[in-house]
Amino acid sequence: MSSAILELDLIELVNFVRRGELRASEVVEAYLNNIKEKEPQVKAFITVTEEHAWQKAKDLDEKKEKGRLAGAPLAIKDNILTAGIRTTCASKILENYVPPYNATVVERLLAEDAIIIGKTNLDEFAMGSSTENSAFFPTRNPYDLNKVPGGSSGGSAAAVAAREAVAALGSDTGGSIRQPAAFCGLVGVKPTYGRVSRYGLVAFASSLDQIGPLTRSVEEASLLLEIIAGNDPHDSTSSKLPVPEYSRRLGQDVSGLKIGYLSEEKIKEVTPEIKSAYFSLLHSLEKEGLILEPVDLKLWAYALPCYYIIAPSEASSNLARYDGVRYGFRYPGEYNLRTMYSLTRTAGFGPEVKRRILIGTFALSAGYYEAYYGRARLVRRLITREFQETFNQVDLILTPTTPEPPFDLGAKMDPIAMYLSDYFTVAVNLAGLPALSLPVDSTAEGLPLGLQIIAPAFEEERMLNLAFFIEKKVKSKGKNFIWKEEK
Amino acid sequence: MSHEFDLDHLCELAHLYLDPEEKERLRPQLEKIVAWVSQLKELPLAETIIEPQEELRLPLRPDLVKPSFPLKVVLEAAPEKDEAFIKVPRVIQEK
Repeated sequence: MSSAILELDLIELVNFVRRGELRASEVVEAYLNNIKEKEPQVKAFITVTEEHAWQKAKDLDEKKEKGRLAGAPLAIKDNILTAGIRTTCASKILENYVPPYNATVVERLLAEDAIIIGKTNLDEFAMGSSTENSAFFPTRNPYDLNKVPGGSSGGSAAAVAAREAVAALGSDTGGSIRQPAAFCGLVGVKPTYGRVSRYGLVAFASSLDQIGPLTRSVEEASLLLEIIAGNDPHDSTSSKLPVPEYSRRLGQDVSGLKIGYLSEEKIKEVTPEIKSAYFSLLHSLEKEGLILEPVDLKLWAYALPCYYIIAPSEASSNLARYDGVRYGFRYPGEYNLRTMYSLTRTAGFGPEVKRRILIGTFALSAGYYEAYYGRARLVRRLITREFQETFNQVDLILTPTTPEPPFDLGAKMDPIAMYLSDYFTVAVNLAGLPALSLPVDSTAEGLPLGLQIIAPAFEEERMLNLAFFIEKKVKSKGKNFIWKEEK
Repeated sequence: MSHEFDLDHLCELAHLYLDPEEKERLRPQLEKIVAWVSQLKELPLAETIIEPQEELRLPLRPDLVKPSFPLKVVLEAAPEKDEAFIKVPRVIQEK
């Protein structure tokens, strides 16, 4: 029974629970048992919320009218606040922080009777692409335990891939949902900036951050997105545009859609397997009646350096709040105020966070502000305009999600080598656009490969619809989940 | 590049202490990152102007008094407190 429950997708599971054919407590039991089995190897969770899950399941089993996520055990990235449940950002500075309120997205999930099964690991403050920057432990890729799950939402991706949660929420500042989704064979959606409230998301780079779902299918991602999206008075950047019922609008005709693609020359850094998956998918789409058009995104190459000025600048400002005064860790001992600030921050932050704070401090400092931050702001604007012009010609853009398949733990010790992992994803955040990663193939060793679909702002419906179409076509090939033992 | 990258000054601005070994380890990494992001200097931007409507404008919300978190809840998270106050180290030093 237990393994049968784990095989149900989010939609099936909720339907069983709502019809009373499956008890929420049976679901929780199945998932907690699987967590006990897999977690020693995968290490996707910082906190497993066993007590909350049992309580919620018990209440739900007695409830008559059940919500749209009834009984769904969800994993939440540990930079999204959960009232009464420790939220660490995988940082020593918030190791024992218990927030007094829920993020808006969490409120919305709970209002639909979802069950939080745990808080997942991430690169400290979401700064990284492998989840190795967690202050606590690295997470491993369930497809091959020697590989990283991607990052920074690596814990969320690994938890779903290992069936430790039916679906998860992550956050994406430069690719932190899409890259782990690609590495763990999942659908990962980064919504338009402003589509989903950021209230209760611990801020990394406020003009780039968005929360989104990680799931095993497009339909599940669509359902979660329509539940978490929408205006929130607590986040003034959240859009007032109505939220379509994405999950009910899948399956529309895609023939005639104009798809922008990158030429061979533009993706020469990409590994042959990803390149071949990319071009064979494009070829299949053309045969299905979609129209292909090469797009010349000239500024794409400048997106990463632009991002690595803007994101650290915002981070250096956002992370100024961790000073040991109001919450979080304070360095013990008798010191004056300024010394206490510095000792707290020095002991509380890990190396990548310090690097980014220092880069941001530099880019914003007197004498360098215009040359670095000011320039990056202009480049960001040009990148945004280039996308707008491109979307006058095409409906959607298709790219690889990552330049390479999941890499080994410890393979990227050089910070810039790690940054390059986000080559295809950061431009989307700079322009505030929606994008998703979709599993389309696997390597000879059975590691997942993902491709990215980018849409114009607030056109998530079009993007999900094409993803749904591709998913149906690709699924027939069959996907084998491989559980490789550690070497 | 190194002449313009004053790590000691940046640490002071960022409220971080780095011991000499950490500084020696970080300095070349940071210099490399700054050199790498400096590729943006290749782009001609003299004519580029950001139109006001292109950037996010934050709407004002109604000026209404709303309940906030109770004092007890807020103090719960503070590392050190004294009755209704968050306790901080002395700001002004005694001579």
